[in-house]
Amino acid sequence: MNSVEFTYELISKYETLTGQSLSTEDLGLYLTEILDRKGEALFELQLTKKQAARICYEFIKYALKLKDRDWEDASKLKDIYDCKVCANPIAQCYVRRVIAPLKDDLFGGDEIISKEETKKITDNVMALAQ
Amino acid sequence: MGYDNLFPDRIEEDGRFDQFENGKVLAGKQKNKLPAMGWNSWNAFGSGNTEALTKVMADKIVELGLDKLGYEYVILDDGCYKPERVDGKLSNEEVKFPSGFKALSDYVHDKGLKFGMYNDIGTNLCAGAQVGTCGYEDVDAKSYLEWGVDFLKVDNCYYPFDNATFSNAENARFTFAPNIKAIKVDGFEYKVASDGKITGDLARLEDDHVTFLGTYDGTGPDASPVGPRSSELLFDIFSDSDKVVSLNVLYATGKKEGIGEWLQVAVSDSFFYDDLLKETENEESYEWSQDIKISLSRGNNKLRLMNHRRQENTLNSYARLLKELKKLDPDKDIYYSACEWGKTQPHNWGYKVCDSWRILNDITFRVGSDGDPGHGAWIEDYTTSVTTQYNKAVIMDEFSGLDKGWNDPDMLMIGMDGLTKTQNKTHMAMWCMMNSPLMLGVDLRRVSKGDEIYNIIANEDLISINQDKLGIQAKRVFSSLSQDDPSKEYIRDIDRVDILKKNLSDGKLAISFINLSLKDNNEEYAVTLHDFNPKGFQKYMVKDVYTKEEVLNDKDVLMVKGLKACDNKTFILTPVD
Repeated sequence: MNSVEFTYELISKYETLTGQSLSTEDLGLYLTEILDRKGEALFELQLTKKQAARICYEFIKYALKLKDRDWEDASKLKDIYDCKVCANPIAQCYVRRVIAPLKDDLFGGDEIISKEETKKITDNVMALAQ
Repeated sequence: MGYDNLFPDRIEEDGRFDQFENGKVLAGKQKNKLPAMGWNSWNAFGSGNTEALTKVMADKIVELGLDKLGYEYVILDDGCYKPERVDGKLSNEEVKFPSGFKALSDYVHDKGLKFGMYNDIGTNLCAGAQVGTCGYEDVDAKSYLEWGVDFLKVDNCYYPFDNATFSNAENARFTFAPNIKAIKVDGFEYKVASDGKITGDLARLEDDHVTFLGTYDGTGPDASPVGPRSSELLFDIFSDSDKVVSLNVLYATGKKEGIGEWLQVAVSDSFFYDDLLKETENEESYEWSQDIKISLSRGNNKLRLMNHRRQENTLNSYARLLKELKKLDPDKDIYYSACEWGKTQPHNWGYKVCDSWRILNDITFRVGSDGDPGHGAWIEDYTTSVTTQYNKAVIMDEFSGLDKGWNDPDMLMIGMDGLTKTQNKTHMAMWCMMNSPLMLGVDLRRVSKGDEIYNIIANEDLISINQDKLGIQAKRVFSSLSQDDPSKEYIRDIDRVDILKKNLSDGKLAISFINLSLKDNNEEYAVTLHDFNPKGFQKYMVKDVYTKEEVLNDKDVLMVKGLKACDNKTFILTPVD
């Protein structure tokens, strides 16, 4: 699965769950860019956990309109500071129990997401929508 | 002018570690610039910055009169390019920046302001776009000049010649020497354990071998910036005549922080080897290298085995872009801000090509967006707080100056959630005293003349301290937790009071008493003023930069009693005849 497919998966599940469709404005600039640029190498790469966190975070923020939560103990994840642009998304997905860390003190941002994990993650995001 | 198959360049002599302290700049870099002042999009809007938002920010800078106070640069940070090059060139992201960069640059210039942009010495930008300048320095220099860019902030993600953020961790093979057990010079064997000497405190002897021959990674807050930040392995070799001999090294390679594949060999300052060695089976498998020819002089010779490529590669990469800019327009002065987060100890080499250099990883990882101010902290884990950045920058005054450039503890977080009014006030005072660049990161639509944020960022006295033409960063002359030299000790416990002294032009001084603690402090703190004046006792008019009250001081002592938590008292002293 790549970024484009994962984004479509979230959108599809949301629209099925709520009966509402999402506009470009609802998705925000980053997710819109992913969909607009499907076919570009960056978004065709296999989906990593940290990229999934970025996409989930943008969805939570713009489509679900939920505000950031406090990081709580997210900073205990040793690799959270490895990625400037995904640190906060990782923290938000961690505190909201959307994406489980690889280990107690390691998020595992470079791990490739499996199909089973994709289902679990997207279900967790949908749980926030209800 | 791409790097050959992405392999590190040969380093010219003027870019070598041995030349870092010679004070010479490279590639026509212009000196004598004060710290930059302006607005940068990253803390305010992250990757979500747009052309429309940038124009509004430019409008607001003028409307609020911030331009009259010195805020002149309007800088687009990451998130403005298409994710891939178009015909090999950088291109604007058309949804967010529909008019293109030239049009936006013209808009900013028409406001009397200057225009800045962002890129990266690696292959990709930090947010992922595959448009880093690596191998495209000539193409990108042309684009930036065509767009009328006045400021370039250049990051270090995806850097192929070190294990930088998002880079392959195995790139450390370029920036660390292999582990070394022994050498043979002209057939005579020398063991590292008994015959070798290690310089600096990074490398160490483990059992019978030396490891970590390289340079400290300065990205995180653990290591001090002061003192030797890299290590060499030295051998004293006596020769009965001038001759060329063979050197062989008993080594084992790795591809991680501390154990690499790249070895530099020199005798004093003459280089004889600067390349990869053949990879060994693993980190425990030692083998003898091929013959490396070295020249010995009659008498004692200092044989150096080392790897300074972490610093040299990065300097070289920043220099490549500057050279291309200067080739196309030698007189155009673009403010050059190195954003490699202190990884390669840029305070040692940055002055050669750059005007400022980041000293640590980012001050916040919780940047804002349109409608969200983001989050800053006074004290936090890792590098993400005002005090973490301050703790390191405050002892780096020796590396800065008009003939060099400025230490950069990252952009201001004033206006973000998470910081109180007092903390914002002190954040500004610290940055001003330390001659840090003053880059606003707030959505200026939230600021009105005379409001709390405005009063902090528009404090003319503090700005005058930062922009004083003498160009000397404050020195810490006292810390309540100092055990030795307060100007050099790396103190991370914030339960303390610091006193900073900054020499200003015309014999003036700026003195700042800072309580970093989260608790109020009721003690008295004083400095003896004649200690700061080579002519001895001097009367001063002392101005409080906050109350604007001015009093005559003829007591030779400046004292404050009581400092609230996270607060500061800062004064400008003007000599009185």
